[in-house]
Amino acid sequence: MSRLLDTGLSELSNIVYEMAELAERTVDTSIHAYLEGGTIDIQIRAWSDALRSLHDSLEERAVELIARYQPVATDLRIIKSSMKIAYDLSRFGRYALDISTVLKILDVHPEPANGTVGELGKKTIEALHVAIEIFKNRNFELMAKLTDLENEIDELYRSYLRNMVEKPSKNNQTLISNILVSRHLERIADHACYIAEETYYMVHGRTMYVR
Amino acid sequence: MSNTQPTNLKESAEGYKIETENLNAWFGKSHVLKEISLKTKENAITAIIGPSGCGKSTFIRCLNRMHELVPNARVSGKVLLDGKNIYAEGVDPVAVRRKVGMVFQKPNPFPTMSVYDNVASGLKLTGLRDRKKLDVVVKKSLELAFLWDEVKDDLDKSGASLSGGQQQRLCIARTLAVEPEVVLMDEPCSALDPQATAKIEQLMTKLEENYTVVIVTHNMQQAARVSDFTAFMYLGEVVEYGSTRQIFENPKNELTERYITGKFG
Repeated sequence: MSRLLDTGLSELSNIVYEMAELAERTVDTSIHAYLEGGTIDIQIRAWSDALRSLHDSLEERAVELIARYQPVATDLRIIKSSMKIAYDLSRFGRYALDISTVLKILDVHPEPANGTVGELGKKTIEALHVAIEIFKNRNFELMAKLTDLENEIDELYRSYLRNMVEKPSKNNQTLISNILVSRHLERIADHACYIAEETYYMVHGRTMYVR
Repeated sequence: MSNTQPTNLKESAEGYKIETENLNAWFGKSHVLKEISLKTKENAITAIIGPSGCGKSTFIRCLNRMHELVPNARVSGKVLLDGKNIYAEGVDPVAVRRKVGMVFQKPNPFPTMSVYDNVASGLKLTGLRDRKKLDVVVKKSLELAFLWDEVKDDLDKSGASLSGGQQQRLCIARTLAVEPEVVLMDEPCSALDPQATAKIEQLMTKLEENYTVVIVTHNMQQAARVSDFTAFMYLGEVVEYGSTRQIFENPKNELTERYITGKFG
């Protein structure tokens, strides 16, 4: 016999799965557009708003479930982790939006971004996919792969900054937009790690860090 | 299956007040407690949870030798209070019950006695007649039970005239008056409304500063709210024993998980 709480838990789960798919699409589209020299900010803004709104409804439902059922053990961990993961997914929307609007704000003509920023973008997309795979299929064997990606992304980000200090670009606008975007990419990768860590906690009741 | 001590304890292994070793109990031929070895921490609240009939009330009744008051009831194994077996030959069960007091599910003040006499009754039985000394103990016990302010002007009124929640706190004051070291509570709030329950729970957490408290409860949220350690019992055995946080956040045993999340049966 299913419990009253089970309906609520499956609602939370459905919202998080929906958010995961949307967040993946949003970040993917935004990064590709930047790297390939396109603008797509209107679409990204709509998706980012949708992610924020899904996060709000998940939180409301989660608080209601806590108040009504005082969940414990796995039930409690599912609720706590769903709230945390939904927050991370909503942050993806925000960073994707920031990436998609950076060119407009700085009035830079979009052009393909190669080199380190291109590499950072590709690795960040891969880290995001790995994190979502860990979340969706509880595939914890991928935790090691995510750790490697996270380390590579951090190193690329730092070396890019060092390089910019040593050999600054002549085009200030491109320099600033690349620095801002690389910072957003690095943060996206961090949130991908948080999702994997939270999924691990939700399932096992203990913490494993991907850093 | 029984664990000997709680897992994930920050504290050292020292400081256990009551320890059971291979404790078994029977009602006639019915074997209701099986080889329970459990250590309860001093100055802490230990909650015993489990489905009806799992033996949790019998377990705490073995901790102050009340189980043997039932006809055909029998106990084997050891219950160590400060390291000394309370079932050893020559131990006076009345002396044990004075050290290990009990509060029951239904408030049971002596109906013909006043509030004052209810609290003083235990001491009077031990021969204390000095009114001044009794006054001091009655006031102190009622204060400890968070009841003094509500009854100080009605000490001569019948104990039975108090509300259910007040009666239960009167029973706690009566238990505390003889200065026990351990307080056992068998479903102490099941007959009380939420407000009275909140007062008793507040009282429990205050008591643990000076007493060792063992509480049997069907209300898992109550166990989660007030206790430091929780033992889950099933079919006369302790399935899991650990810090309350660990039991309610990440139980190790699948049976515990199913029971506390309501997936049982």
